[in-house]
Amino acid sequence: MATELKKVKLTSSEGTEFIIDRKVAEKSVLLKNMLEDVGESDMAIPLPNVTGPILNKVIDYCTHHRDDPFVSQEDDSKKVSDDIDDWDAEFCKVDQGTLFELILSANYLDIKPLLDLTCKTVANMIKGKTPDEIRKTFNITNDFTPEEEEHVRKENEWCEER
Amino acid sequence: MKNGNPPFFKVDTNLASEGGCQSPTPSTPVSAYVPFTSTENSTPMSPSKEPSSRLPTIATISLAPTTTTTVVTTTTTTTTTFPPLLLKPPPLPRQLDPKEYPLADTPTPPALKRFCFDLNGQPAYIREDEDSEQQIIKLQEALYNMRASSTPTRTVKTSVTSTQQTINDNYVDTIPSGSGARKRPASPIEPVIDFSVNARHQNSIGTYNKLSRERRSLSPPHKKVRAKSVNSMLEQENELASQRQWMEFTTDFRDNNVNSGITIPRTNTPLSTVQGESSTSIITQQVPAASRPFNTISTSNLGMDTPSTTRSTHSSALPSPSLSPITGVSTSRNTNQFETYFAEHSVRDDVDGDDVTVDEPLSAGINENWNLQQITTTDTSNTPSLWDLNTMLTTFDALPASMKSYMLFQLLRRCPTNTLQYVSNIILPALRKDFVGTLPIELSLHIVRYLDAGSMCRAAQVSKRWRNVIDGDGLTWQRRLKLDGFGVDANEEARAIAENWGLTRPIKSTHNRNRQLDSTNNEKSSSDSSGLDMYRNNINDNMAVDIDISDQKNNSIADNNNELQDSITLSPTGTDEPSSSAGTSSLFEGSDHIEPSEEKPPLPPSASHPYKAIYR
Repeated sequence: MATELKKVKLTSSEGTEFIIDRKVAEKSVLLKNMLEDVGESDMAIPLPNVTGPILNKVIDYCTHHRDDPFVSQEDDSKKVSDDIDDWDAEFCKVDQGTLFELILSANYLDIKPLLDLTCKTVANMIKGKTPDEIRKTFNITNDFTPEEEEHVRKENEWCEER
Repeated sequence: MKNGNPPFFKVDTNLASEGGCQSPTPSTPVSAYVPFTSTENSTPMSPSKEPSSRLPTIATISLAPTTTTTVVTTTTTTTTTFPPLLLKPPPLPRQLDPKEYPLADTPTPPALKRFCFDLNGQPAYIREDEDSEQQIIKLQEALYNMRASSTPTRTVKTSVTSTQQTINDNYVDTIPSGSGARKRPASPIEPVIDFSVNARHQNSIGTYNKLSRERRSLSPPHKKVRAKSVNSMLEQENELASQRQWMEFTTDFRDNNVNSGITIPRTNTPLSTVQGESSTSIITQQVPAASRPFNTISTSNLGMDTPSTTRSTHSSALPSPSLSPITGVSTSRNTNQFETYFAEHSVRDDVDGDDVTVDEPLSAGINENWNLQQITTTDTSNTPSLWDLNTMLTTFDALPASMKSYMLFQLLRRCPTNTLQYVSNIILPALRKDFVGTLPIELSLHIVRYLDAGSMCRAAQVSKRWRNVIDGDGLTWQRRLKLDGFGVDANEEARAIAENWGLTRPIKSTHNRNRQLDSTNNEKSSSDSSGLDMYRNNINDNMAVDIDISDQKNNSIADNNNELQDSITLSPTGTDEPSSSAGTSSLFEGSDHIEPSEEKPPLPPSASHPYKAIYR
């Protein structure tokens, strides 16, 4: 119980300080390991790869999911992207830039559920779209020549025949 | 002061041109020096003629110039405390249809409610009060009252007024009568408003230290008594130089102020009283603040005053009925000068038109575009001016990022739906990210893992980069195909080969690799050697076109086929590899695909293709 009340100081890339419960911080495997290594310390942990607004979002997520059981290794069979609950879906309603940063931060901080959630969100943006729709969604330029495009289309047309 | 006695002296024009000796004692009081003797000097200042009864002797009188140069070394530390600048919210909700202005009611995001930003090296604070409702209403009433009494509703003017006051003191003091045309008759009515408010700041404003900064000031003749008390004398040249300096200074000052006509009557003000008392501060208390107001600003109080404080400022300013036109003008000009620092504020004043409520104290100072601002803000009407646009943009450019966010938020709140949609259409595409293309490969694959096979196929057609990511990892495809239920019958593999489903192309040689891998595979596959032989035969029989096939190839394919029969997904990576290369090349060979040399990176044979082909 005592450990739950302990606070952890985090510093974002621009120097903004965040004080959060240790339990929340430990949703991040990176921070968990760090805290275990360092032991008792009031020093702020610098997170030079995470900006303040993103860190804020990550903390929101970790706070909301603070009591979730820790899932060590996700089963492959659970690789579906439609198991996002409402809170998480709302959490992911952000612009693509933020989502991008969230993925990077979740990976850096080693928060597996958050990484899964954000990647699922992106996957859902890809699903069911034609290549051209995908390009529009993510502002991608088609760098295939017409011949290449035709070739790639043939190469992948098998999945449309089902 | 100068004693000439014209009736008694005559000018000798002959001798006047010779010049004369000047008195070596310039500091002597004039009255004591009335050379009366027959020296032959003449100064143009005192041409005189001596009427005489006897032979006219020519005498000239020369008056030593009564020059008193006062050197006053004074350091003036002016601490200007700025009252908070108030930012208005959009017009009240009832005036803005929420359907038309979706953001009008949006509360300020917490991140924007309170922050600090750097303003020319000084911290400035933004604060929005939580419980501002009541205050807003009161403030509103006050503002309406102000409006009703047609008093300029300016919020920021206190300390600057006093600063300028001292400047103008000097201006009046030291500008010779030649510029006296600008001097207005002293109005007995002082800007009571300002001083009543200034009482708060008085101590900080009027702090004078005699330490470092050197200021030379000309004390004109009529100030002589005061000047003498300072008891530093200089040569005439210095005096002139200092006078020149002073003139330059005042000119600068006037330039800064644009409206050079400001001359605030200085009589009876508390500040002039101060002057009378302390000779050291006579002329000097002003200058730094005028020439570089920003560097002497201490903003420690910036934005920390509560709205109620400001309101008291208002109310004390308002009822003053005695505001003379002159002081009114000068006051508003002072305000204007100030508002140039707070350009955004005044711009918003003008843009909004109706000043309904004021709830957020803002302290900001932007030091630019005085002239434009001056033009726009002296206009007390609230008509938006095109000049404002320029000022707005310049000001906005100069704002720090946090302040930009805040201002933009305030602007968005005032935007109708159409504008917001337009803005959204601009912003959203700009924020789009090519996730799969720009994320590190392992993260891209993490995303791809959540795609179904069909989506993977389509996604692979998006761009080269996407194709590389999606088709570049056979493991992903294996996993996906298994999850998607692409099962294979035990005989399907054989059928695929037997019926020539796409494996009929010559298999490109990768002998060495296959050989190596074969050796590793041998043990595994040996358990199933009978089936392997069968496949080999099949392949040999059916791939009639195959010109290049070897035992190793057959082995390889058979191995892989074997494994596929067992389990698609669990094939060790070692055996996965050769199957990919072999199978893929069989697909690619002879088809109309692009030569690898033409592409950078070339479209590589995808590891997944054998599976795709087999399950077709």
